[in-house]
Amino acid sequence: MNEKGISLSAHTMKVLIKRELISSIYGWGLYIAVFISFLLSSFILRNFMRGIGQNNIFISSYPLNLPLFISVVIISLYLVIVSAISISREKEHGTLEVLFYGPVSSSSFLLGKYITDMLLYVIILGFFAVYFLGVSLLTNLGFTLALGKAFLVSIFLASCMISFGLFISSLTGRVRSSIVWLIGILLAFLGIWFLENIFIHIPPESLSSWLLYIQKTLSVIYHFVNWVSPFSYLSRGMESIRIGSIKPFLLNIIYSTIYTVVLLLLSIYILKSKGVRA
Amino acid sequence: MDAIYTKNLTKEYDGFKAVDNLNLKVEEGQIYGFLGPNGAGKTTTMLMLLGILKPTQGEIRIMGESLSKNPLSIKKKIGVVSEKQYLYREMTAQEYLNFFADLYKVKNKKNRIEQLLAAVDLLDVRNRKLGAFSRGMQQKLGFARALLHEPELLLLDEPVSGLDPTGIKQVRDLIEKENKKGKTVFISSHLLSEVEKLCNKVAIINKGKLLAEETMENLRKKLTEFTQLEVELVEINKDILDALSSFEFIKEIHQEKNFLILKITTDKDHRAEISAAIAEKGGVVLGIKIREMSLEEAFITITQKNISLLASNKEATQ
Amino acid sequence: MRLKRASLIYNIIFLLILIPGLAITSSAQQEEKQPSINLTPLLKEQLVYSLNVFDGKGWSGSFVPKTESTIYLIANKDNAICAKKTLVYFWPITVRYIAAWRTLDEDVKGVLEVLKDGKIIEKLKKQDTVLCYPEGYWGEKVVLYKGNEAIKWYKKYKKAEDEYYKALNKYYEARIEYRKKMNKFFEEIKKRREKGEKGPLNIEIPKEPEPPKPPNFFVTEPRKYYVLNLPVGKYKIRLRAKDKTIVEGSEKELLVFTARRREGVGYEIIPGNRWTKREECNDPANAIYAAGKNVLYFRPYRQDEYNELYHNKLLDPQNRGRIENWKWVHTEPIKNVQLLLFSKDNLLKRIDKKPYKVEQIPGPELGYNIVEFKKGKLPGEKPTFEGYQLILSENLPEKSYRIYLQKEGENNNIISTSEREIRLVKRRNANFLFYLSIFPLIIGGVMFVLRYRKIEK
Repeated sequence: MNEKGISLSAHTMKVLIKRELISSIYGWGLYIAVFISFLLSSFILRNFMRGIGQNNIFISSYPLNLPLFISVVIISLYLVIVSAISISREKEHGTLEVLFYGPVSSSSFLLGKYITDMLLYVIILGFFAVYFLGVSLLTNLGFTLALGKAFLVSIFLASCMISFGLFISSLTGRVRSSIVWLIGILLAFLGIWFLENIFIHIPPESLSSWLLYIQKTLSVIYHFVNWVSPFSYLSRGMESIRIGSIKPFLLNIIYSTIYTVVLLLLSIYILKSKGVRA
Repeated sequence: MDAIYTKNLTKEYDGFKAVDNLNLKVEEGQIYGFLGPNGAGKTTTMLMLLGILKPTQGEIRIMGESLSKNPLSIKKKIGVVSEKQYLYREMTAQEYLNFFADLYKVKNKKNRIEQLLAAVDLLDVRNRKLGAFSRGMQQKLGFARALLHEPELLLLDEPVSGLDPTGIKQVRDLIEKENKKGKTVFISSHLLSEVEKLCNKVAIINKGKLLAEETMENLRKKLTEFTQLEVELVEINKDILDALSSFEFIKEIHQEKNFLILKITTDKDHRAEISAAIAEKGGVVLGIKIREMSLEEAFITITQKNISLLASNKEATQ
Repeated sequence: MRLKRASLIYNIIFLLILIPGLAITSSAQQEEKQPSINLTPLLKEQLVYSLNVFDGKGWSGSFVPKTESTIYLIANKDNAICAKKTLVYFWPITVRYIAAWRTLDEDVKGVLEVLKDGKIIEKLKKQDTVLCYPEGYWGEKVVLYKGNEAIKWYKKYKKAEDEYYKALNKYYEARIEYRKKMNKFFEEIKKRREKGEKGPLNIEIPKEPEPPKPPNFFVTEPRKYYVLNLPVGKYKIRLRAKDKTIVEGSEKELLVFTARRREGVGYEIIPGNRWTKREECNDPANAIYAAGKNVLYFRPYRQDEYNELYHNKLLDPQNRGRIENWKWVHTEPIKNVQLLLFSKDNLLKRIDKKPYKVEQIPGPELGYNIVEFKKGKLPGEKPTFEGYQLILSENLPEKSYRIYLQKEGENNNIISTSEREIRLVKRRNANFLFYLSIFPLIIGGVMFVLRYRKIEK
């Protein structure tokens, strides 16, 4: 793409992002998702404070990381749903076709969607910052450096979630099928994790050959899912903060970035080859 | 320079050719009608012209530039109105046009939007949510969107579909006005009546193939090459039918109760010859009427008397 | 067409699932047919390694089943290792293999070869090893001795033990003698009282013999082990039998590692209200969050930081851990220091280490008191623990404090890694958190009103 083409795409993305952001900001979805996440966090924090009251002390480098983790999980679910239906909804309503009448390409449209959702997450992070600062002032649970790190890592986790959602959305032409696919895939991930955990408690020598085959297969799939599921990146990221070591922290950021890039490229390719019609 | 130029344009879906070796040449400043029954391949062609569908084979040049090489800058020169308007229902008309004005980098967008909203009679409802717009209002807004960035080429797919007579007139006026400004207009329709008053040139497509490409004048001539005679008889027998069949100027005979509908050439008045032939075979002619054939009927004749088309024509004109 | 495509996708997914499983289980297919799941523990004879390894603080034992291919050791320390034949079974509840040593415990003979980069760098023969507990059998400290030193320590212990038993015999004899003297003493009193003597009788009270003290250390019986003491690196070990063949199943990887950080300061904290449930505050980034009235007893330790996976595997090769994680291991208590309590930059208090005694509250009430231990109350009585007492309360003027350690007698230098933050949490405000969670809805409402005003109805 030449310089003119790049600037045209950048302008297109900017306009698309502006429209989507305004649409999200004026909608209720964002605020309700953040409210639910804060409500759960408040519930956890209240129990946590009661726990400290009963045990008298609690030792931690990151006391607010668990509520933040819960908030990030809820928001991730919101983001993955929003992104999973974003393309399919435009396909289904035909608005995607109208956009493509103009100077919109698959890549500018998809990157626009991705950046919009990322900016949405940055706005949500603003809410997080206010909430956790309020929590810190109210409870004296410190707004620590680890929390700042968790904020930073969560951006990359949100990126994985959004790109995963966009990937699902690019595969489907209707909102309903996007949701069905998303739920199906997430349930499959959960099922594999559950089965793997059952099998790990059975000694290999107690299994018949076909059960052994299932166990080994599940183990392979489980490891595969660990790299495919965006939630794995979420738990790995939070773990890297818990560890407090810079290497896994940076590695997780790199892995998340690679995951995002791969999924976005795949989504662009799929959107190009499947077209803009539902 | 040709506004639209296609060479051997083909689109295949799993072995089925939706568009088959289509060669089009639309000159700059023309209003070009692209006619064909439903399923003829019009929309597929339009989508290929917009770069939304990739041709299986063939070349497309818009305003002299190859579409495959520089699709984005070409698309900025095109304004599109589709049959159905797909709108962001949560936006207002003003916001919707504002968004597209930004997308196309329209200069002095505030004035331009106001001017277009006034032209399509939507200025009073500019702050109303699009979800509350009627079909006609949506169609007019689609027109405003398509004209927003002053495109050099307008691609219109069934542009007056769903509009009331006033709306149709408004849109026609707009098209003519834009054409007078030097814009090329490409109108795709299955209704000849929709385009006959506007177009300089018309192409007829069916089953993906180009059947004819003519100036409106030539087409009118070709389409009116035949006329229909409605002959009322006391009784119709086989001898009469055989006698009439032997005339070269009679192209088709169709019987409806005691009426014979004859499609004949328009080179001269054949009514005397026909009455004589019927009388010779013992028939009693009660009356002969010339049945005027509209362009629409002529168009249907060319496109193989598509029954479904007839049905949809009725719907469209009701 | 769609159906065709979908079935193609399903076929591909099915194959993707099938192939890796088939590849992995191909070897397992050859085994005899078994019932689908057999949860009765199956005892299988295995060649395993029995270990007594340095764990950062002392020496601890574990075993390496066939399934574990790597043995983890700390560098430049003596580690005892021995190949044995035993019966092993899988215990699904803990997901671990367990050795049934009582059923079979047979030494495997041979020379242990240590290889680095494919070359043999050491050939080891078994030598005597003992574990010495210098603070007694229940003491925390353990030291491994090898060769003559091991025998010397064992003999020393045996001698001390023999002397103790001899002294104990003498003590029992002395007690019999003492009882006899006491009987005579009471008879004499009785006689003289019956005779009508009044007032003090001036009879000498027999002196009770004192029991001998047992040896204040313990040494295990000498056992023949190979002793590995290697620098950091990756090695291989294998056992070569007398007939020069390599004993099957004896080959293992050896990963020798060391601490990442040394000389850290960690704290064991005993909360006053639950002294048996102690907390650890090891990481310098840790903060101590306290609520309400609180009496805390701090016990500082020196500590080294090890890789979590390596150290967990060292303690038990079947343990799990993450290679990215690090863990602090307490090495020894820090002595001769004071605990300093700071509020911002102001020193509030210097706290000395004191002994404390946990006393049960008498009567039907459950509970206990922790009181300062005073010597001489009862003979042989010892304090329950020693520590630095810190009393916290919600009513303290500041909400955040810092503690440090400083060597006794010094006024300037503090031990830098000893710094920890203590934050007093405001429990009462916990319910206000729910009000805080409403603020996104308020912002949403404001946005809704702004939008609503713009739109024409």
